Amino acid sequence: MRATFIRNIPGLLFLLPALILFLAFVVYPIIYNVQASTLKWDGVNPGQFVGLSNYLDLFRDPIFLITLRNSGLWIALTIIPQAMIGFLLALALNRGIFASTAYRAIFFVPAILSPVVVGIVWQRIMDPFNGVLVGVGKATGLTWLSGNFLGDPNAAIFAVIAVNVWMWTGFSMLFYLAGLQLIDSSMLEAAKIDGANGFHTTVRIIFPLLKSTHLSLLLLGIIGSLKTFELVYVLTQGGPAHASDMLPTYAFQHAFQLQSAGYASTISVVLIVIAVVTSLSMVRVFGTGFITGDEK
Amino acid sequence: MRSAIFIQNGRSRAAARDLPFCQLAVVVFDGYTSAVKNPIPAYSQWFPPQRSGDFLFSVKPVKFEIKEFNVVGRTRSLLTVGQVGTFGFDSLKYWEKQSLRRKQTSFLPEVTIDFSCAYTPRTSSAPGHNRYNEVTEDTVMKTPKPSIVTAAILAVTALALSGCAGVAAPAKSGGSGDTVTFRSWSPIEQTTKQMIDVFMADNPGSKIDATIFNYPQYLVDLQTRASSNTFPDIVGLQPGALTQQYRSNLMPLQDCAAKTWGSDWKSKFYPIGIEQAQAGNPEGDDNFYALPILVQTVNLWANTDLFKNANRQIPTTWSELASTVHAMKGKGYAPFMLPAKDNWVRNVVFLQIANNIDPGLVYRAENGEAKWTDPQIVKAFDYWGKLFTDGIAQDGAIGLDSYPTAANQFEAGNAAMIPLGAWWIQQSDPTKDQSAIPALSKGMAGYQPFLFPTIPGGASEPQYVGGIDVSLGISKNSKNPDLACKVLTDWIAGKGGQKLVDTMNDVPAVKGLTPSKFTSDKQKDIWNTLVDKWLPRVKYSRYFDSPKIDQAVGDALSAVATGSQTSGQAASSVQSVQDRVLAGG
Repeated sequence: MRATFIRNIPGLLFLLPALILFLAFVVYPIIYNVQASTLKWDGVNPGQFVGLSNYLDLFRDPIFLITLRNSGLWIALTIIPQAMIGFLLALALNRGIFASTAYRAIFFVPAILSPVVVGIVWQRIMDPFNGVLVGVGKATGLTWLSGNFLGDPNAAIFAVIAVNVWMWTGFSMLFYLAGLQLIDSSMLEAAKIDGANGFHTTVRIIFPLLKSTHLSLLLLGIIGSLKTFELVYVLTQGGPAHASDMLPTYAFQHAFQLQSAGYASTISVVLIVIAVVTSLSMVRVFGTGFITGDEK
Repeated sequence: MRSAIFIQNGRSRAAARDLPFCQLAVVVFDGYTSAVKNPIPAYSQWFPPQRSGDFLFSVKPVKFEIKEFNVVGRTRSLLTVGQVGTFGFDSLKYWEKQSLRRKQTSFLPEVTIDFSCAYTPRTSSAPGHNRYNEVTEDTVMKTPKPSIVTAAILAVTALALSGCAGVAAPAKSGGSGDTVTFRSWSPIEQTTKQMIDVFMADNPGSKIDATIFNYPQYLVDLQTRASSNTFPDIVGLQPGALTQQYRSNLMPLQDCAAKTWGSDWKSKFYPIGIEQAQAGNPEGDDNFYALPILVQTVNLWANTDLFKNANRQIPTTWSELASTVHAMKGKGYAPFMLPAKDNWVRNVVFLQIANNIDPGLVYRAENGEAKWTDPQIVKAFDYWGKLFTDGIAQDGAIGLDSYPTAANQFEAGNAAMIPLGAWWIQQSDPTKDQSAIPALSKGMAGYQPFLFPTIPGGASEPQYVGGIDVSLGISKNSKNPDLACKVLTDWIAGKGGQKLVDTMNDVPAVKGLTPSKFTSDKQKDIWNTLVDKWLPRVKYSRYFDSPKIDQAVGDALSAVATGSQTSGQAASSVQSVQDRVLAGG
């Protein structure tokens, strides 16, 4: 036993840098946060231990429930449309239509823009007073386009989600394009010989063959949804009246604007728990290797 | 040869009993299409799986043979099966990759394999090379190394002990030698640089290391620095809550002020600046932890061109405001542009309304002497709501941000009135290229500041609301307190302050500092109105003391604006937050 340990020392040394980084940037902040969540603390001056009362306050906080609802909406309403539109775009571009490379680049551009830029641009587009959508609405008679999407508490979160879908669809498309190019053409030929039409080929062969892509996008989508910050912050600042607040924006607000770092840490701890539970259940359902394409 | 325990991958149905160490790759040919060209490796697995580091680098080509092989297929194609052979390390890797890519698709056949495996390891005379022969049950089974776990726990504990949340960091700060550090969100970077240059020219050898952030980012930076022993020597501060939050990191500045300007230094400043600099100090603490550098009024601005075209006067009462707005409607611009997306805009407009109804009442509500549910405050919420329900504010006001959108729209002539503040005078910054600024802004030609109209049943005169734009504080643990004091006082009332005022960033906190150049007589008139008539009379703060109240009022206003709360409900929601704040929550 001792001999094997000595034999393993080189291996452990190789692990050490990663382990140190992991401890410093993952483990330590989590512990720090958990500890801070038990404090009434402004982030600067000595805090005061209050036990679990931050958690009790949080679960009674109606805005916290709004943020949970918004995260749920965000997960459902970004991942599915993003994947569907991305998949269809990828299918279209995979046929080698005219200037497909240019289209591919254009569709992907929003994903590499800064969310702040995207936010400002879309705010102008959706500005109900003088925005592009209003202009289009007036010119075409489609008056519903003149709606005050970002300012209406019932619509704000959906407006932000729509922008998010616009932004990240190109990303899904790229994933699907990569997946499509890995599909063995002989399989498609076989299907053709068997008499499968285009619809059948797409639904029965291509779609299932892209399972690992679907799952990757699902996991990335859930993680991305939970940590969404910039787009919401720029487009609505979580407003109006917290109607589009997400957990990270709400935590940020408490930590830095409302001087309650303790409460913000409580929100973060809940966020960590949600993220870990989600990831673990994904792993449980789909197996550890689904994202790398490894065996279950 | 001892038998070993195998860690078996989940989906593999290969029997793992009594196997010696060997590698196995099974290739299933889809006998239907392109059989030779594209064999689909259905299953590839190493035994033992590469769990033990011992095997990672010592895989050697081995021979294996499949004795028996059954395939249960689900596809239409009949599978012809069987591929037995010898693979080298590389080719195995290749097969593995190929199979990984395709394995997980539902299109592939499910394969059940029964096999036994004979192997012929290439033995080597060097003992280290065939270590797999030495692997025993003991080593294979020995998973998490207790020593690592112990080490990790120790390390985490050590980290946690050295950096707990909620503990005030032992402060030490800032620059060394003749350097002071400065962090703030205001003045803007360009202006700050000019202020630094002029200071350094007069004080050779000293250095100011400055970084200007946007406001939210600055809050993050400051909080991080306060808890990591890197608090800057000079910091930008908002009066009230922000200054109080960092009070324990700040030094009292009255000595520095008295040393520089004499004992009656307070008379140099506008009274609102002095009053607000101490806002939130604990009872009996008369220290100045921050001194204002710029002050401001919050008020409305008119586009005088649009007023002239519409043949209307600038409104002084609520009913004039309403009739003016309705007369100006439908002309392609917003008569009253309200950028109500921003919390601060909602709050300053509300404070102007509330003080015009019952001057000073909201501040009494904030310190517990009155209730937010007082009919006069409910009335203020009511009038705020009327901005929306009576069609005074433009459509979608609650979604419009002040900067950059509304400011750009106003400057482009798309609005007749807008609630901003004294700082709008900087639109015609004399230090900037005048040919590059919009026509309305040239020499302030198209603008006029005015006060929020009076409300029926309220005060007969509009009230002045305003306060500190930005103030500066010095770290308690600055290594160069004298230099920091020199910089701070120079920027408030010396040559640095002159540079700042020359850009018309806002109104200076001290009286008598005048821009060295105006772009027009009109700008000069506006300036004189602001500094001589308005600021000395500012009595009411544009801020609340508690950030929680600030947020609660902002939320309540937003709820009234969108119709999700009545003014009464909004007032009680603020009162409930107020109760918690007063109870120390």
